[in-house]
Amino acid sequence: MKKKSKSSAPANAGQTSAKKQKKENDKVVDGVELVSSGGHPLSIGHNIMVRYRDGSHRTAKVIERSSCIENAAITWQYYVHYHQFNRRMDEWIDVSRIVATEGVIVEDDHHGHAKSVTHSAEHSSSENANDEAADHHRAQGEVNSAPSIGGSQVTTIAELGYDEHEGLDEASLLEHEEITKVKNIRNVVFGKYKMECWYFSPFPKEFHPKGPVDCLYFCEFTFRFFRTKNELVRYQSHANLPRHPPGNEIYRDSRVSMFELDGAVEKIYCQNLCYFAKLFLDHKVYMVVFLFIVKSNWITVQTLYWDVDPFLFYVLCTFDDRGFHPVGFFSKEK
Amino acid sequence: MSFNYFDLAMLCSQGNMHRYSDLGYNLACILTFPSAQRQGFGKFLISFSYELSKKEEKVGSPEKPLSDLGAVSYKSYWASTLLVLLRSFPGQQVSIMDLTKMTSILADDVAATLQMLGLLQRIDDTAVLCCPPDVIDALIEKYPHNSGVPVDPSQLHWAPLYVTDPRKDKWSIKAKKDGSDVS
Repeated sequence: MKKKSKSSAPANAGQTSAKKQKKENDKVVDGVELVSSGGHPLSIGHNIMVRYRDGSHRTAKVIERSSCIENAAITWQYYVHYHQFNRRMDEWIDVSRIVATEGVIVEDDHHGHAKSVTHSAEHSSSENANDEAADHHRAQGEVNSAPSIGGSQVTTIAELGYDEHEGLDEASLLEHEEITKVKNIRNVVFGKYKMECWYFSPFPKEFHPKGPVDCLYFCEFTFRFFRTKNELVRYQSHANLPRHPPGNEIYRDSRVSMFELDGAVEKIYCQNLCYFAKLFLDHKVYMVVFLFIVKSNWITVQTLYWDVDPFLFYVLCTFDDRGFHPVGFFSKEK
Repeated sequence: MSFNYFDLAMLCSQGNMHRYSDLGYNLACILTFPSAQRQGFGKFLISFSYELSKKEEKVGSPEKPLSDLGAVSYKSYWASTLLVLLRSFPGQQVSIMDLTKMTSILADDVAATLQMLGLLQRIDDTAVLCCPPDVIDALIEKYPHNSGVPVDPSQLHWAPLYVTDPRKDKWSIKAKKDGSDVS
């Protein structure tokens, strides 16, 4: 296999110009030859056998790859999609979690239930510690010692064969998948919880300047987001920080209350809410996104517009003496 | 250049409102944050959206397509709501349209749910709703109603923003005629 190093930063998924950039990077590093081990890098689209978060072995497809150089040796990371699983389970993995790279047989990705894998483990699976860390990563859910509920259940939910994208034609579906194939935010901190993100969300470039970022910090009262914890703490230290969503409280019982927001009035709040929600929803039709791309000589202008005006937002909150804490929402056309 | 963007955006958003306004959706997008999942909040949100529809005196349905988790939540909500209604229903006959009027769930969704539960049977090319009490009780155990956080309609203080003429609005409950498939 040809040994070649690619760009060190994971390709940024948010840019439609990603392909172009990739090509340029290839050119730049073409001449560089570095020692890499074990038949890596794998090509994109290659099917491999991976140790999954729960320790079982699953087939996966390489979506994207990145390398970093340590002590003159290249270590590779791969962004993989597990067959028959929802895209929310896609993740970056180390080479140590790859069980087999050749002879992996994959059956029908979308609706098949039987999964036959003829190949036994080639590499020894000695990195148990690493594996457990990966498992915990999803299950940890929160920063503080609240009961463990943070999304741990999703590891068991396989894809149901339900077509989430019906109504989209083939071309726009492909375009949607190309743009959103790699998550750009890995975790978010929201209130006292830290959550692993499920999908791509079109955050402004300033929030992920060099490819995917590890964590964004959300204020739970205004849904403003920051790149560092210090920024969030400083923002929240303002005395006039609201402790509840804007809009009208239309429902309150002993446990929860519901706020009604007009998207045209509370524009900023609702748009920030959309940025946050998109991290956990895989639909471009749910939120109406307008993407205007103007291409002229070497300049790509990309404007993103969350069209929240024609919607009412209903934000569900639990409350305690610190304020109202959003736990979910739904939107509705006026 | 920015003027063009603004123009386009306005155009699109208005076109959009026209496109969706009369499709009978009572919910566009729903999410329970992962930190709060598995506690019944999703069902609360769904239930709440139907409470709003009841206040509007309209039938409603979520905007399609549903996500995988959304589809699971909705199926479970429809099933438990209809089963509770059927168990306590005093009369001998009920039509799908009656169920729609009582729950604000779109008739298509009611029919699909009853079919999924196996309560619809075909006799002489007519779909007949057939629900023996023991079957209903068994199904209710499978789709428990009181899990999670219930909505208390008396705590909801809300009135619809726009009032439409029920004679012209095909989604209004008052405009619905009685259905024909009964028993």
